Amino acid sequence: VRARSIAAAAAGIVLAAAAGAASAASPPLQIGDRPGFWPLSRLGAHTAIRISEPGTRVVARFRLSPGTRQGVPLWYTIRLHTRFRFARRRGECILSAATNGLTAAQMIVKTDRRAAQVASVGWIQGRRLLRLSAKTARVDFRNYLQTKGPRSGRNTLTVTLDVLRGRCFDSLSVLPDSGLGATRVRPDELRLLVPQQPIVATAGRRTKLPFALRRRGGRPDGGLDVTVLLPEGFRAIDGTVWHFARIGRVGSGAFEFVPKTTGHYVLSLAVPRRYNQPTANVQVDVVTPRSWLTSRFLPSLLAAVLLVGAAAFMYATRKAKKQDRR
Amino acid sequence: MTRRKIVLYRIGTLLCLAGAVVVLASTGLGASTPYLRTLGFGYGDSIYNYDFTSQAVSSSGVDWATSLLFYNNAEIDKVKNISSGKYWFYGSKMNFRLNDSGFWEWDQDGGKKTDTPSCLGSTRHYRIYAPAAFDNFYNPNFGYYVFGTSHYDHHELCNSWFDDSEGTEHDLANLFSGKGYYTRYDYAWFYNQQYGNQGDHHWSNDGYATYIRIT
Repeated sequence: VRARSIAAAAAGIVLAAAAGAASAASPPLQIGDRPGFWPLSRLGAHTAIRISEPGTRVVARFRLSPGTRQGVPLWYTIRLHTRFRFARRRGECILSAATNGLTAAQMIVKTDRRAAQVASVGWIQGRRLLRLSAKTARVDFRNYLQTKGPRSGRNTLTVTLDVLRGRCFDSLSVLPDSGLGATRVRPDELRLLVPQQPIVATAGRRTKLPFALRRRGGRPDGGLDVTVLLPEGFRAIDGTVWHFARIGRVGSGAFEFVPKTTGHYVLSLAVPRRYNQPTANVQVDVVTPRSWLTSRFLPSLLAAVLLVGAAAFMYATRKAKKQDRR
Repeated sequence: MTRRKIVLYRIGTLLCLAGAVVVLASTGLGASTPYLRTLGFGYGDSIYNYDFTSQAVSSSGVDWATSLLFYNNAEIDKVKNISSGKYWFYGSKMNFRLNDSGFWEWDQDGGKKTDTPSCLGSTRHYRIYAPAAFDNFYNPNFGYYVFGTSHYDHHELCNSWFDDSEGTEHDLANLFSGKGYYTRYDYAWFYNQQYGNQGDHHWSNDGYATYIRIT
């Protein structure tokens, strides 16, 4: 019986080794020729990938067609779906994912005895700050790859865990529905352009806030609204919504408002429920009304008087010197 | 008697000139630093090329020139962690003006120094900045990235002076390169070349920033 079981075990080891060699030798899956999503479960990882140590590990290999470039015509994206079991102690860690070493996903995790905070920045979900009091959580992050993130031929997808201090996790897994996507949707198909410098407004007077919309890409050019959120004490002249039946390549407009009191304010513009729903903020510095007389004329006059005084004193000095010589 | 008059007239001349200078400066007609400007990094991301002593954009209130860019997989604490063997002590906070998501905002950082302040010693010091609360920018050109300024503090607890931003930039380039991070010293022109003395502030910045790739 013992001899049989040894023989069976040996055969099992040989088969497993052969299977392993076969999977290692099999070429990576070709992906990304059409819009779609390819999860890790299709790229070779069928179960959750448990990460227990800091460092970088390859979680998938894949191939892209010759001539592949980000955005031409497809945009390549990443999904990093994780399951965290937080350690109830102080810690700071970064979980990141990269294609060919170029990072496109980053979750910054800070933990303490009571809760955890997960911060992430990307071009699909924007800035996100999650405060989690549960001991376990799933976090789903999506983003566009870096410009040189996808490349022709063989590519690798890696996951890196950095522990900056303490300990963050009792366990950490990358779920098999993480993976790579390809889409025709541009990351910034509709751009909302606003003044980059603060607008200086005078309290009690009309001020214009100009904006422009730039549309590109293949989505239909339908109607949309631009809305402005005014802070307390601001009165809109012609409402807070600007409607466009269609915009073509570029559309522009301006909101007009009257601020009541002085101070620094932020006005938020948004295009809700359309395209990539862009938003933009503008700083408005409201100042008290100042007349030209007090702000420019009187100081200039005073400076001129002082300069004339200086000249008079210099003249008097010369004259006194001459008298002294005589 | 006449000599006394001359001295009094001269004092009067100086007082009038000083008064005129003060009036002109207070009305905003005074001199300004010509190198302060915004820099764009694509996709709407932009910064000022100096950090500031207070949260006001003023060419007369700058601290040091922006001279470092950490990119790809950077984050403020991660960068500080990598340099923590040498840059271990914290410094005083300064302010940085940046635009990540279509609006301008401030970030503050105290940075890291090579030693504690003292009466006779000197410490290299750098600060890193990114959108507050998130600690990095993202765009497809740079990945996750942050900016830094650098300088050298001397005799901070006695008759202090500050200089050699270029030397500290070089020191950091060597440090990160030595740890295996791809470093391009003086790689990009940031329009902030500045030399000369302003009180205890001695400028020595060649205007080129060093790029360090964090993995």
